[in-house]
Amino acid sequence: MPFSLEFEFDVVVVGGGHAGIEASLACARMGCRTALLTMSADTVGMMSCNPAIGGIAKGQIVREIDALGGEMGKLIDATAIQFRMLNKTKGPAMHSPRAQADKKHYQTLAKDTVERQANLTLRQELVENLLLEKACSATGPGRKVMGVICRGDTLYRAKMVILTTGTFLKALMHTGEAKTVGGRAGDASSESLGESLLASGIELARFKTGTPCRINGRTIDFSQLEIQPGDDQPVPFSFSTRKIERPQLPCHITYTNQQVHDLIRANLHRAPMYSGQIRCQGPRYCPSIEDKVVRFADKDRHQVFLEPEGRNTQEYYCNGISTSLPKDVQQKMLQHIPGLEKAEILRWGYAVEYDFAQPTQLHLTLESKAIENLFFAGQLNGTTGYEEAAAQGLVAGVNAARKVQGKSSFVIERGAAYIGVMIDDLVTKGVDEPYRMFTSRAEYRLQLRHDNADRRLTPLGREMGLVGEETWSQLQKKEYAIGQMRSLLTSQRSEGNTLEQILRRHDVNWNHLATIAQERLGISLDCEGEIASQVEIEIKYQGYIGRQAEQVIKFQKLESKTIPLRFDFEKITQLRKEAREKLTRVRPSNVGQAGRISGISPADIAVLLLYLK
Amino acid sequence: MRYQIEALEDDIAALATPPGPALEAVIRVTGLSVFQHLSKIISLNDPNPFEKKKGFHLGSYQSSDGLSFALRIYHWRAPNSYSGQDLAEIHFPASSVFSNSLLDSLVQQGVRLARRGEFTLRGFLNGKLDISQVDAIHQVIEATDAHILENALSRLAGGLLTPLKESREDLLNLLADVEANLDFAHEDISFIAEEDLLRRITHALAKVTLTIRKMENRSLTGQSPRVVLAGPPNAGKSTLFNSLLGAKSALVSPIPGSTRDFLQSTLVVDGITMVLVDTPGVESAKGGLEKTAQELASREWEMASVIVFCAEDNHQPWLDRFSKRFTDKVFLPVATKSDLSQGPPHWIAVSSLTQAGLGKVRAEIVSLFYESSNSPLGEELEKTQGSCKKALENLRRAHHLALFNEPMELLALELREAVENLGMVLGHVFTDDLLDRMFSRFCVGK
Repeated sequence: MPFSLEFEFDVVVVGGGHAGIEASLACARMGCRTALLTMSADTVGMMSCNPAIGGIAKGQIVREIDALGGEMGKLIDATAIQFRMLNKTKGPAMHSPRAQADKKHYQTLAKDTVERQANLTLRQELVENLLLEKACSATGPGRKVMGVICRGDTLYRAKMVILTTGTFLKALMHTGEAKTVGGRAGDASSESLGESLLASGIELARFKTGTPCRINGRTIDFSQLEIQPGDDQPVPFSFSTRKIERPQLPCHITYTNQQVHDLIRANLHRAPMYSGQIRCQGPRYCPSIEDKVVRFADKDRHQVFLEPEGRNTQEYYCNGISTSLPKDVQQKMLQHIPGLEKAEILRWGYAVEYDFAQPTQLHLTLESKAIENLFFAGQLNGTTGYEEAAAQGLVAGVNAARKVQGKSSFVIERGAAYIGVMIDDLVTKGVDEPYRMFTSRAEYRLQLRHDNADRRLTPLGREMGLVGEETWSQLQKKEYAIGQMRSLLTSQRSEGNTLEQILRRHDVNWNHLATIAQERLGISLDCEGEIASQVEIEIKYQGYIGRQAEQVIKFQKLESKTIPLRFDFEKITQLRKEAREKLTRVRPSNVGQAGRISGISPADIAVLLLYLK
Repeated sequence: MRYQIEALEDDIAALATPPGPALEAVIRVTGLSVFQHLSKIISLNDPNPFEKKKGFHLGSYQSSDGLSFALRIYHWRAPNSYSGQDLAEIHFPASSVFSNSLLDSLVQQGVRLARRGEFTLRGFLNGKLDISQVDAIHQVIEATDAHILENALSRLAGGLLTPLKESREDLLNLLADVEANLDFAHEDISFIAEEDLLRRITHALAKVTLTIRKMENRSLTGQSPRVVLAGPPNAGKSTLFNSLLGAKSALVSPIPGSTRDFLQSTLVVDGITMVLVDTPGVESAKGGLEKTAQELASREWEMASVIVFCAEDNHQPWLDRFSKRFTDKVFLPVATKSDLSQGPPHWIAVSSLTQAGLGKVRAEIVSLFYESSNSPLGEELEKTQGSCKKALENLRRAHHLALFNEPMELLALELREAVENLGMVLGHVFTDDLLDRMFSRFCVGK
């Protein structure tokens, strides 16, 4: 079939959200001719929900993206209006950076970055179909993607296609009884691409998520509210950002109360999640206010964070009262909340239902098992969060580019990064609610800290060709300085103990140690703050970090027992039927991964190991 | 356990009831094609007997040499059987002639006789049993008296599992609270109070400690070999008993027949716990008291793993007569009064006065114990106890961390490992169920 217009690229990325940005930048930077196709060039890098980046476990992911050579950390450092390090009272593994973004600024900077990138074509197109061809893949006969077909009879031929369509497949928004087709207020839905995926044998399911109303700051009575300022010494996300100099804006906190809860209870029958209008699963950790009131009826108040959406706007995001209740209820709700009695709603809250593709249909590279050269990343895989999406975009991008170049696949282990944990979880276990990262998902989290993301991952990013000379030499200098300092601490003694032993004591921190070294030995421990903190953390937590390192080695033993690609689990008759079915569906690539599939027991693994010997 | 994968696919059969007088005997068969084999050697009333998940059938058996009898078959299709594979039980009138003939026919079909514990092993590998159930079944198979049987049965029914399950459940909830505290630090919720944390760790610590102690006691009665002293009256059995224990437990007197009842005590040699039993002298019973004592003694001899036969050098005929009565027992002959005479050459000479020879007796008992205890599943018990002890270590460290207010994520690591170690015993793996617990307990998220 001839098309009126045809283009040819190495990689085509569909969707200009946080996943699409990282995917297309990675491909272009790795030398692939790349196209980024988006429904609207104005919404590249848009924050559809909360105007914030990072948070517990998510902040660590942003640092990892940056360490690997991704863009998210740099974008937020340049556009944030408030920085806070969360969990500061806990140990270093729990410290998590978070920042409020100037939403519009973030977006324009993201767009500008994509536009300036060599090898990358940004274009507004509505992708309606995939161009497929029959192919014989390693796992048997299958199909292969050859490109995408856009509205208006246009074909983009591509060696690899990455789908990052977010919530836009068959998207339907709900505000009370009112339903609107679209993936985000004011935007359209992608109907035909979903059909095209279904027709190609990709299974789709539905999730729901929601967003709160936005209000006009001029109408908030801040005098009644608790103030939440940013950190005095903001810690940047990117290892290449030296210092944050811009002034910060505060957030404010208020609370719901019994009156609000009574109002919600009285109108529950009009909430789409309760009236039966929406039947699919939403994220439990991000419940709507109606969910909170129903599930935790004994709580007499819930926190509401009022977060500014930017420096050049009065718009405020009401974090904590996500809702799909009808407009009149949203309006009345605010009237009972201290400080918001006279608040004017600028945009209404809504819930959105969308199609996602169960990620067990993917390899660890995020390439589809059913359709060769087709990659999936972001919310389309059933995740939530800009950070989770961006990380997947980066991994899919690197893998697509490497496949174009005939190089080996790029898989990050669970012991190496939160990103590795997430992708392994998605591909191995699948999702039954929108997937968000938590530190508790990472069994080796004491090693996966935000402070050492560069030391863990920058060598990997360098190998992929995403880390420039300057960043690389900076890391090498840092490693050298850490090594020097550590050998100084093991060689110098005071009263029979090495400085390292002294630092390991309960009541001694780096500053104490520096004083001891100066006063008793006349040695200066002066160094950059991040060198001192790396050395201090390594020494103080040596026992635990060492234990985790041992666990990682044990873990790697099972990971290294690979399962052949065409392995027929059905022929192991000693396996329970359920186990055979699950293994056949997920097709794990190694024994460790097999063990993480839910419903697979240690006994199943024992049998599998007997067979693989 | 060195089983080949082929071995796990084989069809196997075993007599499931003890040989000896009984109304009915049972042969159990399991494997991939046992139903086909059964259809060939047994005529059943039902033409398609094995189609349902499980069933009960009447039938008859006729051997090639003209033997014929009626029987019943119960069947369970895989995976809903004890072994996780197709399994059947043949119930028939107890007779060694019948059972031998049936087993012969099965073997001719290609079925092989099961190794000890093989049904259980398959059940375990197929996820039908957890390790402690395996161990309990092992004890039922091995049980030699009512007390042991009862003990093992209570373990099967969850005697030990229940407290461990409870502890694991408590710890999972505690871990969920600790994790919520880490992952949702900025909610205005207090997830766990300091004193509550300490209290709950202490509680778990106590519970796991008690369970381990119970487990050790059970293995004492269920697994420990019984070393029984026997010999003619006044041969120095009670003296040897006391010498081995290093204490005066048995009433020692120079008058023949002082030990009218049997005494038992725990003997630990080289870390192996054994039960040492003293019995009255072997003699022809006269009066009522002696008769009862002799009956009790012969029960002890029946249960013995090792019989230490105490005698003087003119007692070889006694030993010969005695060992004819207990042909399946291991005997260790000891010349007890070596200061008077050394005894025959293969006897161990012991002097309770000078302690000479006692070390040799102990060493001999241990080596006999090792010879008699090569059970394929015994090591599972050790694994179970090992995992529990690891969990205990984790809890001790967690307690320390909580006391000194150390970072919560370190405590979480210990709790997580404790849960994993208890899970090893119970056959559970650590799962995402942690998040479910967090979300069901707290209103978290914005």
